[in-house]
Amino acid sequence: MNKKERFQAVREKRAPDFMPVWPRVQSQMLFSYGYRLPEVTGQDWYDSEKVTAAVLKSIKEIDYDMAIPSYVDYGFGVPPLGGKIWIPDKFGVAAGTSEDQPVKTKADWPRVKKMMATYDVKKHDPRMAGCLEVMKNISAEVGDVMPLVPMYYVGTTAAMFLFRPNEAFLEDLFEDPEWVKDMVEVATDWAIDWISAQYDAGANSICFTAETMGTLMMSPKMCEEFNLPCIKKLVDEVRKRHGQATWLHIHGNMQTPKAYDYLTKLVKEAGVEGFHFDENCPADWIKREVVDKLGTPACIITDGAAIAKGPAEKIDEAVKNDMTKIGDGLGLMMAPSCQVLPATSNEHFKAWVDATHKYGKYPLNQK
Amino acid sequence: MADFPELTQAVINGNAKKVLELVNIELGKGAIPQSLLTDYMIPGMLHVGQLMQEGEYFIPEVLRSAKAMRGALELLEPMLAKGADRKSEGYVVIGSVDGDIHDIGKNLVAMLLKGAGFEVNDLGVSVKTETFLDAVKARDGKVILGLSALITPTLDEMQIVINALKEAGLRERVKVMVGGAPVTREFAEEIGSDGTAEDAAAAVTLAKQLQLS
Ligand code: B1M
Repeated sequence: MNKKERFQAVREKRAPDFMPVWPRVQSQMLFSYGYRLPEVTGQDWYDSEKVTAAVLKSIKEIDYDMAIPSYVDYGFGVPPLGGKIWIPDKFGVAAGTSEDQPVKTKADWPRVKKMMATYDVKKHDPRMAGCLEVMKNISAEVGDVMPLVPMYYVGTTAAMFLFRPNEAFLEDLFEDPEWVKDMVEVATDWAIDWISAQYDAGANSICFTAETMGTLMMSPKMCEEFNLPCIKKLVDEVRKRHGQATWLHIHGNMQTPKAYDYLTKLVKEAGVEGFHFDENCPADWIKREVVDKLGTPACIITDGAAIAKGPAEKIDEAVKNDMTKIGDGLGLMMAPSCQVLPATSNEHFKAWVDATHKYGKYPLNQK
Repeated sequence: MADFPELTQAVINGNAKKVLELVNIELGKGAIPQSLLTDYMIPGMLHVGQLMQEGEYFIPEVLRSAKAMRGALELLEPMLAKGADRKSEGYVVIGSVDGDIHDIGKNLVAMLLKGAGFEVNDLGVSVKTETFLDAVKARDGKVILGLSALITPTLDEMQIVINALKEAGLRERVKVMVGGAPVTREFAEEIGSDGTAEDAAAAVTLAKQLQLS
């Protein structure tokens, strides 16, 4: 099977040859190539050549099964709106937004909202334009055989990353819910455009969207109120515009009755096709309650910190152990709790991918 | 549900307006500022921590309560500083270590320490070793240095700061407290810190112990 066929088998809950790995690798590929972030990107620039080389090397050397065909971070889109992003000059430390966000107070919102209405995601942020350039390159190299996914956040996570300082945004949720709904809607529309641009640049598989605040930062009730409609809109639009399904990366413990109820709504009402959880959801629970009961394919999780820490034998052992807990293993692939953490060595990263391929041979756990 | 005094309940509900209103009423009646804090508001915040552990509250609710506390603290602080009843528990310099921009947990720790009567100098996020050192040097006598980290690779920074304190001859008068989700007791011991705390309430208890030790 090639990587596309392997992932397709997971989606259809058929047996692949072995379990595929979705690593959601972001800055790790740059660090492992030997770059510091300021060598590759800044507030208003992005070196597509360097990034292309790093992405290709990562895909070829580690041999995982699905990729975001570029380097992405959550500072995308922010500088043209007037915010300043943080690009640390330090090995293993990811870039991000800062307190200097475009919407410091509500008075900034009309200006920013107006800019969002005419935001050209392919042009206005040179970092995003550079990222699309890389997607074209990677797609030309490996697009025939590998699922290449577009990635961006949705709902409250998207609004927080694009507009507001983190803590202030969490307070907005209580203090000004109507304003939050406005920000969330604008951010989600922008997210849909950005995902579309990634398809235009060569993404060829399902869309991966992320709600990293999940049920860790918000109650399931709040998730339902603020995020469910946005996720539904994104899922519908991606299907309409590109004929692709959407998987959701969500943080937090989804095992409580209220969180599980939200999860069910994400499938039944919003139309999410599959899930990537975090370390709060154990493999056996995912197989039983999500794949078998909800009928939804999903990722089982290795704690990203454990992969970063190693050693390789321990990673091997953890993967082997998880494989014994998932019955026939149909409908599952492997992922890290968030992403392959930026400071992870390629040695540990590869040990984890290899262990999944080795212990994840189908048929699994036959008596 | 336990029955709390009105002010405590207002903190739990994160009702900033109500907290301020009740504090003003109580002050008008001659209440002692320190007592309003330690006997009513801090227990409210501790209960909020418990509700979070039980999965009833999530971070926005915790921040809402923290904000309600902060509003009243701003009003009380000058009185606490002036008043004969002011018991300064000690001086704390706190920050998230270099490379780490997570600060929600650190802010809660700082706030509860303030509430508990510590003087707190919060240096913010991604704080460089020299900045920690400068803040310590700027203060005579005993200092508690609080280091927070949420991402595993930045844990190394804690060791770097401790080593730098030693090299600068400051270690003797500084008690180092470390915390954040990936920090374990073993790690805290291994790097030669003076202790770690699992959450903000435990951080207050630890800071009190360190101040006395
Ligand atoms: C001095 O003495 C003390 C004593 C006690 C102390 C103390 C100091 N400090 C804390 N405590 C203790 O008391 C506090 C109160 O009870 C507690 O504080 P906590 O901070 O633990 O608890 C808070 C009250 C609530 N918890 C939090 O606020 C953290 C929640 C999670 C979801 C989280 C958040 C919110 C964020 N994140 Co980030 N984030 C995650 C977190 C997931 C998780 N499972 O924790 C974690 C920490 N993040 C992670 C990652 C990887 C990242 N994050 C990043 C960014 C962010 C946001 C900006 C989106 C946001 C931060 C907002 C902010 N202003 O803080 C990036 C890092 C940027 C950087 N260089 O720092 C990025 C690299 C992601 C990326 N794609 O770039 C992971 C770290 C993995 C690891 N072990 O290395 C992570 C565990 C998520 C995961 N499951 O993988 C105790 O630990």
